[in-house]
Amino acid sequence: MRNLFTMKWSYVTRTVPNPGRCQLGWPSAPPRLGDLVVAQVTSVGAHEHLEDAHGRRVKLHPGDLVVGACGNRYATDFYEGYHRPGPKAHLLTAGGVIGTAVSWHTNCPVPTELEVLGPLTDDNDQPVSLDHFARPRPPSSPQSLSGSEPLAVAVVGSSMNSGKTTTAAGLISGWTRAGLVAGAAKVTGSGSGKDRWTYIDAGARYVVDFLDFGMSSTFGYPPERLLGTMAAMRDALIQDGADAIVLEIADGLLQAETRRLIGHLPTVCRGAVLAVGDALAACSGVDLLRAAGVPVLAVSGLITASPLASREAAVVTGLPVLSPSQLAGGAALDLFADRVPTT
Amino acid sequence: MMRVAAYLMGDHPRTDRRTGPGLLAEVDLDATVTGPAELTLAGLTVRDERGDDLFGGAGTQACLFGPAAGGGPLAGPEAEHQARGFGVTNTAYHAARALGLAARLLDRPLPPLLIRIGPHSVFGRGWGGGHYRLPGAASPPEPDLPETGGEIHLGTGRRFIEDGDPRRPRYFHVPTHNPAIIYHEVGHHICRHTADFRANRLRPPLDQHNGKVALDEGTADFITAVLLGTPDIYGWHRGHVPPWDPRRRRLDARWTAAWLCPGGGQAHANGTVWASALWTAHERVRQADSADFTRALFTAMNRFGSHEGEVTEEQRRRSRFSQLLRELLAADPAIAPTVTAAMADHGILPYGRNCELRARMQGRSTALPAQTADGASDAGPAPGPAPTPAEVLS
Repeated sequence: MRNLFTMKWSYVTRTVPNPGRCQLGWPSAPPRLGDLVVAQVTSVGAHEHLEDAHGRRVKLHPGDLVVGACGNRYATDFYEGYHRPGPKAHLLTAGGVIGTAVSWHTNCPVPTELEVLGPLTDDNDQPVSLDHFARPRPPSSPQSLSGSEPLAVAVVGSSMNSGKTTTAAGLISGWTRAGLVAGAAKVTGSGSGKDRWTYIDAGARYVVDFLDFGMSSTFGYPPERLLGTMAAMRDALIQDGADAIVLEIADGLLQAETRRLIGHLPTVCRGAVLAVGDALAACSGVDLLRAAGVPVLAVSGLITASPLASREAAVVTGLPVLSPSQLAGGAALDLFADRVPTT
Repeated sequence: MMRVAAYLMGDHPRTDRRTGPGLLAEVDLDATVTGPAELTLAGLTVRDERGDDLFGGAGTQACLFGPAAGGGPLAGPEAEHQARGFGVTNTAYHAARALGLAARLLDRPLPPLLIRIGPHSVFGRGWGGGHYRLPGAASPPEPDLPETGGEIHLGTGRRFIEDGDPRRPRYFHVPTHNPAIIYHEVGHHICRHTADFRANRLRPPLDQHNGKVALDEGTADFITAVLLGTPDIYGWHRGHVPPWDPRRRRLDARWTAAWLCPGGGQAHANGTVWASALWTAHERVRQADSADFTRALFTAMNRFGSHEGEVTEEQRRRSRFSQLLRELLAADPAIAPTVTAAMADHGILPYGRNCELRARMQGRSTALPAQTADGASDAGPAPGPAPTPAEVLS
């Protein structure tokens, strides 16, 4: 067994309470999704840095030992990757998701290559999984906690990089400026701290993501688990003390798991803000959401960089098209109004 | 006469920040319902312009609405209806009270005042304050020409009152519920028709100057403090701001001329220096012989604004603390020594430009400007172009 004192602990290990009591164990059974493993960098590719458990970008060198978690990745602008037990693997995210990339965007360099040395084990020599540190589901439903419908809004997008996290940050900032206590949940995605830090920087007092609920990456988990986790995240934030909550769902509306989740949005939130890059995406995205019974509150995202495209989208959808700065400047609060807004 | 609901201030205890800025009570108001959301009193009209029929179901004897914790975007339609109705009656009560004080101290009524609620209200751009407008250029531009006598525009709110406990009920800070904001804006109306700091009486009626100088903001804050009966005028909605922070604008802090900031956009902060000096003088006069300092101030303001002269020169003169102080000392010689000492504690002397007062208070200049026979300073007004922001210090 090797001492892990000098290892580079990735962001996905942030929920592990006592890293010093863990060690590199001998492989016994094939690792599963969410299991933590120790791997050695054999070739530095796209990811030249690892994000550590505290959010620091740590430079990677060949021969470095890293601690990450087995997982899949679904990223149309980056990697399609899967957990495939075996000695050879790739670093799928800077946050420490380890799997095998099977396809990638033409603009994306080849992945950083790893050799999996074995499982991370606890002081009983048992493999360590993120599931062991998952936050318990809150005991009460939000209605019974507050006596009223929770102030929760989902942010969904037409695709990866459509501006979802920036939109969520605009909502958080607007609520915080209005004197509300904002909470944020990253419902799906691949383990990385980037969005978490963005929420916190925007003013969110409470933040949860799928790591808190035992998943390094949500792609490939059973839909039932993701549905239950989405509700649990909202309930946990209410229990923590959040007044207003944003639930960000990764990837585009056509991603299979996202499509399953949006069908259940009316049971967990008041509606959705759709982040898109152009008016056609706004039109089809709003149609998809409405077909799923989701009230669409506004359109936002990259499209708001173009006043002309924003006007196109407003005409075809009949919805307010709000930039993140407009959300932060007051519109985030008005999205909760029951009355028909004046424009 | 009709019965309305309003928050009472002064001798009444200030209530919890979550339940409002004063004691909720029913009061008699000599008002008439003149529109779906409009009340008219002598010399005052208050109108909510968001399109609701607030008074359709109200009788002629009573308009009793509940504050509903300010209503706001998270409130239901009925709560919002109540909050808006209360906003109109609360605004009417406090504006009438301020105008009544002015009429009593000036021995004349001020020109009619129109208060419009929500004229700039659009989705996503809530506004938590108010402003006073005259016909003329303004920022942001006014889509409709304001009344020549002056208008107050009040926002519809943009945030909740913070008190650090998110689990307790929230109060949406809507300006119509906040007597401090109402009094401050009526204070500008009083200033316009007395001291007239921008010399608007000397300008064409439709080309009035809507900018405010420090004396204007500070005097409005002082009038607010007198009417509220407390120097912590914004303690309700800015209670989360530390008392020592200039944004709190507490008048019992000893803000001195050393804090004056040159450049535009500082009228409120610079005005706090003037307001806190007035409050100190007010308190010392009250403790000494209970003479009416506020009456002396109103008399001084009336005289201050009655001077004739070239507009630019008058604007320059009327931006100087020392000039208004001289008028104040002349208004009631009996309290002049007390007032002089109180104002000097804040670095405000009866001669010198604002920048000279600042330099002296900051220790960068110990020499006082020599006083001439007519009371003007050697370093005082000089012929030339309009003052720059740095000269005006507001």
